[in-house]
Amino acid sequence: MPWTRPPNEPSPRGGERPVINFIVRRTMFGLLVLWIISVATFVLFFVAPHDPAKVIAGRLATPQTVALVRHRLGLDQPVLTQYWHFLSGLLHGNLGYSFYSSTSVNSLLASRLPVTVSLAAGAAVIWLISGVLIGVLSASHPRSKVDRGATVFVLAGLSTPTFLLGILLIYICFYRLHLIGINWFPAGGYVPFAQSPYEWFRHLVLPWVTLALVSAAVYSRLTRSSLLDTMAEDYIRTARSKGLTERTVLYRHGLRSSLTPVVTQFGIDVGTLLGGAIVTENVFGLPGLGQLAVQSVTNQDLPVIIGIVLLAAAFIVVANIVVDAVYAVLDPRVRLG
Amino acid sequence: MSVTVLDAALGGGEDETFAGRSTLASAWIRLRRDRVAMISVAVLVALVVIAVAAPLIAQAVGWTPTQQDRTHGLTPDGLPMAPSARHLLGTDNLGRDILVRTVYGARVSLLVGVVATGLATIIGVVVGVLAGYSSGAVDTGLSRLMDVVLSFPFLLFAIALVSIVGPGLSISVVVITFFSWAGIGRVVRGQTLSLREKEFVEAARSTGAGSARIIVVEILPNLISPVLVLATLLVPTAIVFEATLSFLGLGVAPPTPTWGNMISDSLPYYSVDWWFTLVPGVALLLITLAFNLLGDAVRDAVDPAAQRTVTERR
Amino acid sequence: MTSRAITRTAGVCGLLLLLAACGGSSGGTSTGAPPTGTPTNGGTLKLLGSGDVDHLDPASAYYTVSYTLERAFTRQLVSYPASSDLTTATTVAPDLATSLPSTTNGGITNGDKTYTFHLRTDAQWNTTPPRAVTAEDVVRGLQRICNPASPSGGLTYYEDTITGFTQFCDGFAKVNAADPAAMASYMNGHQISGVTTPDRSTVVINLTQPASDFLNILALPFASAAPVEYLKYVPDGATFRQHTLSDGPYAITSYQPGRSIVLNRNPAWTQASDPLRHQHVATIDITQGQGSDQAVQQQLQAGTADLSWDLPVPTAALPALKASNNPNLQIFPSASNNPYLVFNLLSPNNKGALANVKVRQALEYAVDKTAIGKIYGGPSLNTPLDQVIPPGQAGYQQFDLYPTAGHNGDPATCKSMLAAAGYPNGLTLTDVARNSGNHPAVAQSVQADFAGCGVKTKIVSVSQGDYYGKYLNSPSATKAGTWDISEPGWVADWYGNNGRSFIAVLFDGRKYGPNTVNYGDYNSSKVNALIDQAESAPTEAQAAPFWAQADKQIMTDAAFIPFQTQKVPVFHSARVKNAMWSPFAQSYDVTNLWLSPTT
Repeated sequence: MPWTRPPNEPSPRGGERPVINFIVRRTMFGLLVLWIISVATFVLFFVAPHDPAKVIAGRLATPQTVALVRHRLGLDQPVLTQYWHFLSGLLHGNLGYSFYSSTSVNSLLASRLPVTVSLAAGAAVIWLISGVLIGVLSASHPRSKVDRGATVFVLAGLSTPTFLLGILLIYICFYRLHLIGINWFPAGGYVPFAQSPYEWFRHLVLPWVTLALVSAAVYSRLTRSSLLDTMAEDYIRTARSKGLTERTVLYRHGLRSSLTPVVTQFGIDVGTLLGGAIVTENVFGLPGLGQLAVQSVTNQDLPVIIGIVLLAAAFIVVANIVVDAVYAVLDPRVRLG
Repeated sequence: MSVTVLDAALGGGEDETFAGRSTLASAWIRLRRDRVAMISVAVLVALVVIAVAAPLIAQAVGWTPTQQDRTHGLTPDGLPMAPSARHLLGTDNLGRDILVRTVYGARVSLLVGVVATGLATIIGVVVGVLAGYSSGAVDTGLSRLMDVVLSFPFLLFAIALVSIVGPGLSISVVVITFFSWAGIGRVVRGQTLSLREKEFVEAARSTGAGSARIIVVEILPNLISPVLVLATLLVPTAIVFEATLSFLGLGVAPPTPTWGNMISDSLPYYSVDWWFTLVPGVALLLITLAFNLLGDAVRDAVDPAAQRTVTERR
Repeated sequence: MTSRAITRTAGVCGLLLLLAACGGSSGGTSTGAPPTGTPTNGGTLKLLGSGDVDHLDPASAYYTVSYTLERAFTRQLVSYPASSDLTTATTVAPDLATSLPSTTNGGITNGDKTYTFHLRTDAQWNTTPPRAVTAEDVVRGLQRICNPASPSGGLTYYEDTITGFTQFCDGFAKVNAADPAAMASYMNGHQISGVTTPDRSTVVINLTQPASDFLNILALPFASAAPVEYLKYVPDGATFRQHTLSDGPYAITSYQPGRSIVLNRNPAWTQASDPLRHQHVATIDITQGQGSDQAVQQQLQAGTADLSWDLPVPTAALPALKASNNPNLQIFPSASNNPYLVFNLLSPNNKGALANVKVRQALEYAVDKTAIGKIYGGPSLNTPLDQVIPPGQAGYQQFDLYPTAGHNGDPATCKSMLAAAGYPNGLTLTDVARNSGNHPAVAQSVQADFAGCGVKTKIVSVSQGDYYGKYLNSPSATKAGTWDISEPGWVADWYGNNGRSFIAVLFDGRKYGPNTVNYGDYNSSKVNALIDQAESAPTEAQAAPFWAQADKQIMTDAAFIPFQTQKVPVFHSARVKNAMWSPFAQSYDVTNLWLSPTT
């Protein structure tokens, strides 16, 4: 029967080089996703009536002035023509120029990316480690005081909106500590790693904690739940009956395959975060992609909006490709899709 | 492992005989014995009752949710008033009673939280299972669809949608659902991929079971765990999402109160008027805890073997 | 959020609180009170804020924050001194000109239609080597106002006054905006017929008719002198923004859009050449992207930053600061009409009720202006206003055609008047309100007020972009009645003799169109005639009575409901000294303050 086959045999599809095939196919589909997103962004931008030309022209601008500005921005052309210009520029690696500052979108994105990557990477490490650890702790003593306490803690973090948490942290750690002479925490801003690793770190601690506190809940609870499930499986019972310690059983056998949902969630979260943590960057004054996204949407600065959206989409596509690859590593029964 | 097989083998609760009890009935009995679960249920019921009885409460207290107390609702400088006999939980930035607004806010927030979560979970599970169980074109198509949704520019979409249709409850629910289902879908797909290769699924296939039966009988029940976690986490996330929408000026239209827009309205005052932020914040925390602890308990009740195995070792 | 149009950051502009009407004198040349204490030179002034300038090119920069920048790196024929005395701070004084032209010194001739300016010879550009600022630079500055790449929003002020300006601009509009060479050749090959330069240090400007506020118009930074090097770049383009030159005490040394601007001392500037500015601090460092006004305030109080760039003092922080008499907090009187309620006179809703003056007069009684004031910080900062012109501006005369006790509104009177006007069952109005800042609170306050009068208000919450583009500035939407009322605000572009930037802009119905600020299309031939007379009056004293009459007529017609005029609270860090209020920047003058040595 075609649908019965030994579970561990690699798929005949893809022949001798399933990995290369996988990467090529997923890249092609990834490009398709990016194209769809670019169309969607254009549609969203133009479907609501608005006029960035008028804002740029100034509050008492004459109709002639506004028309001049509109012409410079190319907004007096039909939408399809504008999209075509954008697409042909994109194929040459040029994302266009900001309506406002006329700066090239490429350079804007390049200057903001390190900030967002710094924020995302640090926060991701913290929430992953702390989330999983807390989840393991909860799972090894389920329904105990430790479990309940940890649950309440992470859920408190989850149910606090990011903007509130960030503002409170600045108020307590920066302002109130400053009043009693402890000046270690800054109120925000970013220092490039190349300029001073120590300052880079110092300025990112509070934003990292803010992001991590909100996200750790998801990871700890997914880990806890998944681990509880896995620990009851037959092969775990086998490992126990072989006389292995609980710890070995937990970490070597249990954790591995229970991590799939955590990995998926992590991929989504990191991918999304790399597109810019809008609220956190705003509250802490970090000049990253998220802050640029808010500025450009408020200003109706289409070239910058599209640039950020595409970059963010690319991150998500790549993250999902990586996640799917990791499945195959974590769970040998899953084959590369 | 399959719930049906295991349940039959292990017989439900510790001091129940397995003969004659359905899975659901056993689960319910286990749930009833869980104190934390019962407290959570009580809290949720209380919140729903309060939300439904909002007009009565408003009448008892003496303020409507949009009534601005022009004489004693604000300090001379225009700041909210602290809790007092006149306003039991203080006032907000326009001199409106916070107790009444929180109670009315429960309606919208509960509605947004539960409805958006329900919709997102259903869509996410359906798409995720289909993608994970099928292979080839269906999986690719659905997975790419999820990629597109995950990459969708949230801010732009929310602003554009609100610009066309105007802010409001249904739009908020639509936006929140739209941006939440794909995350669940990806996790469910991943789980389904693993489950598909497990022995009991092979066993079911070899007995000639069709795909639909396999999905419903073997796979779905084993998805309950992660889905329940994600769904119970999504309820407060959805409510906070609405708060973020309000923070960006896009949520439910004023003057309707929601916990979300109360929190965001309170932001300029947190350093001097802490109750304004605390009251809706605590309400949100309560509902989060209630849903999540209840979710834990439901999971444990439906799938007791896990709990038993681990506690056995102690 | 970041978007900061003038009417929003505005909140206020400082001006005099004098009870005497018709403030402002023409031709005052005082350069301000002597600074208090001994200046310390050096140090880096740190400013924190949220948004960027709208344009870096002075020809088109219009945001309030741009003024702070322009004060440091540009000069005009005439400008304003820094002064703790607000009359002085808003009275035009010579900058590049050696003296203010007047009828007495022969600077203003030809029936008040010709202005002659003699330029200082010691003002310099920071080119290598430094080069003097000449009459050509001044004329070039005027020409660049209507360049096709980044034309100025204030163009009407010049087109309405200077002879030949409109023709010059009509031709300039046809030039290719992407080609600096084409724009340069147009500017070199065409003249504004009303502007001539008999020699390198004289500029003569001819007007189409007398204008008592012409010096105020020339003081606007749009007409800043521009060096010949600017012809190489597309105005306000990315390259231009990296190559600005300065004739002021500071020069822009670094500009990262949306992130930061840094200015350093301009070595080509000398104190002897500049009666209005100083060069105390060594560096001015502006960091943008702060989302929270409270975080900025906390940093100012902690001393890790010095001034706010574009964010106001958070209302919640004010009571504590005032109670403790914090010396770093100052509150300045202002000249704003912010917010106010505009009626859509074209709305067909309620059978065209809003076109009926009796309906509008009824609604004038409904609003509790004290409650609106509380949204903005209470009565110590906000004074109820019952007319168009705020105190201290030309034509101000105190009157209240619709008085209510304590400015708390009078719903009973409103209701009975509405009934008498033919609406005993009230109305249903659509209020379009911006969804950020204090705007939602204001809309809800108005909603509660109108409810007491039997008028049901539906609030439509919109983003800043949609607010103007989709509703207020859209004649089709206005005629269709998608909105009935709204609560915008207005701050004039200058102070004192500013009717041209106040009543004329807000209530001249002849200019109604997609760019008007007369959102509701109020159009009264009486008021239009009064505006014409005021604008062509030769002196402020002669213009003021016409503005006053226009004000009365507009209020009799109940064209809008004024709410209040505001005072601005401003805060600086402890080390900032000699902080003088610049009403145009709505902040402290960065070219006159200094920093005390650390701690």
